[in-house]
Amino acid sequence: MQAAKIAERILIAIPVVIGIGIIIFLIMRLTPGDPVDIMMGQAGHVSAREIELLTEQWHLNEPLHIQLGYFLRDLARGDLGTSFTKGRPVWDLIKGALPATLELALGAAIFALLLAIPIGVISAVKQNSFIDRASMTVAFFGICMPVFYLGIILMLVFSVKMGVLPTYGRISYEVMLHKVTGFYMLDSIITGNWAALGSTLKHLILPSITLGFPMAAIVARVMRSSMLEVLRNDYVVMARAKGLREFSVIVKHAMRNAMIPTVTVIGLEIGMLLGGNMIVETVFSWPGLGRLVVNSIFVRDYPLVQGVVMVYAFTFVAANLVVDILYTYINPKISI
Amino acid sequence: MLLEVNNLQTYFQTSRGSIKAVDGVSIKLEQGEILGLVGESGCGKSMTLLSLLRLVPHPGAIVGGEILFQGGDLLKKSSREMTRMRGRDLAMIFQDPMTTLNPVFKVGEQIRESLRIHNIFNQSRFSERKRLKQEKERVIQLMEETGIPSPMDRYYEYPHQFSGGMQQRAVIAIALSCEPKILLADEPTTALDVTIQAQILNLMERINRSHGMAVILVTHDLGVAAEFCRRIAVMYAGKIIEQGLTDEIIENPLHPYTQGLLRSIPHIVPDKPRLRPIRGTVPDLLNLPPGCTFLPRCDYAVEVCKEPQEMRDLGNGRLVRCARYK
Repeated sequence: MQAAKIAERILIAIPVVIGIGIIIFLIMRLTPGDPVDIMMGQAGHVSAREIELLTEQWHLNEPLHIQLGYFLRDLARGDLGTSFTKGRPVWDLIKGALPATLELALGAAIFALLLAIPIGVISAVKQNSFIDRASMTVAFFGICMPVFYLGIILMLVFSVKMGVLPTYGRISYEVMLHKVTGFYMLDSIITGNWAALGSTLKHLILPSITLGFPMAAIVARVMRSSMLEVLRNDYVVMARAKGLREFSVIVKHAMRNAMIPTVTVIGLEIGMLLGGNMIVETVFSWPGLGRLVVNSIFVRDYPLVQGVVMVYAFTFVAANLVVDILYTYINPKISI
Repeated sequence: MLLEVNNLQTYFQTSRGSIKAVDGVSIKLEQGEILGLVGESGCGKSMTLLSLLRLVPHPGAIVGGEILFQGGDLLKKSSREMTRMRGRDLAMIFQDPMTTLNPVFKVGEQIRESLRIHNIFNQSRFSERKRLKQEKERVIQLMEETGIPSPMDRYYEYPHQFSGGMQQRAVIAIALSCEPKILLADEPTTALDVTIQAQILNLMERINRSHGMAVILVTHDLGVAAEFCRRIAVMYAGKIIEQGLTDEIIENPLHPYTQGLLRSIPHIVPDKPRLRPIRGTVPDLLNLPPGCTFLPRCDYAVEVCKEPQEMRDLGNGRLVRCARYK
């Protein structure tokens, strides 16, 4: 029953991903600037024959609907095409960049949740206290402040002034790491390379905080408000009247209920962590999907942009599906 | 005497002044007795109950009085001792069963939680598995006793799968689980249909008789109180204004407010007399008249009513706070 419904949800997600693919295909081709021109402009002296050849090779001489047909046909085969600029299959490039992005997203999510949930709960329990006001003020900044600005400030303080944390990349050049999975943390643990693990962790801290801070701010605010809502309920008084200690009342009875709206927001935000990381990856020269897509937009590398956006769309849809499934476990009133 | 409350005062400090929600309430409760606490909404009945458990919500606080229970003053206990007494010695049930049960936990587990908190089955020779089994058996037994059909299945259901009446039965099962000495019932039938109301009252009566559990029933419905309680205390604006045996209060109400309350009950009879509501409204608790709090609404008001009125003891447990009685 449950499995059948989950399968149904996955099937519904397929047209969504295809739709996003068509939209990004059209948008890329509506963007001014011709990939052949850009590429040839960089190469310097080229002949008209070479331009013609490239245009033909990339099917750019065909009408739009034919090009779309090629794109969808390849997509159905699981082929995202070949990058214009790098000459390698798009899927290989994505596979190379995805672990870096996932590792950063995970770091950001852990930072955000470990910080935001306790703060949200404490702020609600001690409403209008100093800690409540202070953390909500910080959260307000977290929501307003552009991430690139926060990233640069953190870099300035911790890297330039204090010199304790690195400014860019995933690992120091001096450290050698044998790559197994592409997840540097995992790889260094597998190979028992503790120097690499330390270096990886150090490199992760600033980008994770930068990426996770807005999420922490939103989650803390949602957690606080839904906790305040829950604490007004009779079942909280009932839990106390049963003889439960205040800690159990808060953590067991109140928090379980307050998590229901919070999980929705966390799901959306995790999609954002994966999809909205272009700025952070650019600021910290993080070799992930975000930087890959930004660079490929500049050179109008149509297949690469399309491929990365498809991955983003997929993660967003998947994150939402996971939230929906999780929802049925934490809220017994809901079934998929 | 099982419970003796003397001059209990619970005030709420607000920016506009202090609200005297409970203003010098004194009640006594015998073993196994049912006492009704009657009054309009906002008169301090519920706050009196929450004060007994020391669960007055912020910014309220108990500022004076004593609550003598089993020889000790509850107000002098440490918060840890008080936590241990809640549920075990004094249990409470609430007005709206829909919101009293936690929506994310199975009903049976919510009943079992009480047994677990108070270590009802915690002999050292029991393994965790055996303990769990005994607790579950007890929960099923409690659900049977409170009239929840097929308790084996319903143990695993969530509150939203229960009807209102069934939810209230589950709440009563929670309250009953540790065999407390006193059951504090805050409008337990108000949110229910009339037919269900009668069933729940019957259930509470049965429990009162079979377990010898004393009950304080808070209600705004004098009819319910008359049906169910041996004695009634009528509250108005944070004070008890009349107290006595139920029959005497119903047949011969002394305080003008009690008389007014009785006249406001609709009767199902042909050629029914017109309802005569009490004129005016409940006074603002921030701005109480200095003398008798009922003065602005009273038909018998005289000059002396502008002075604060003491409780007058008319003998035989009959108390009234009105200048008309000497």
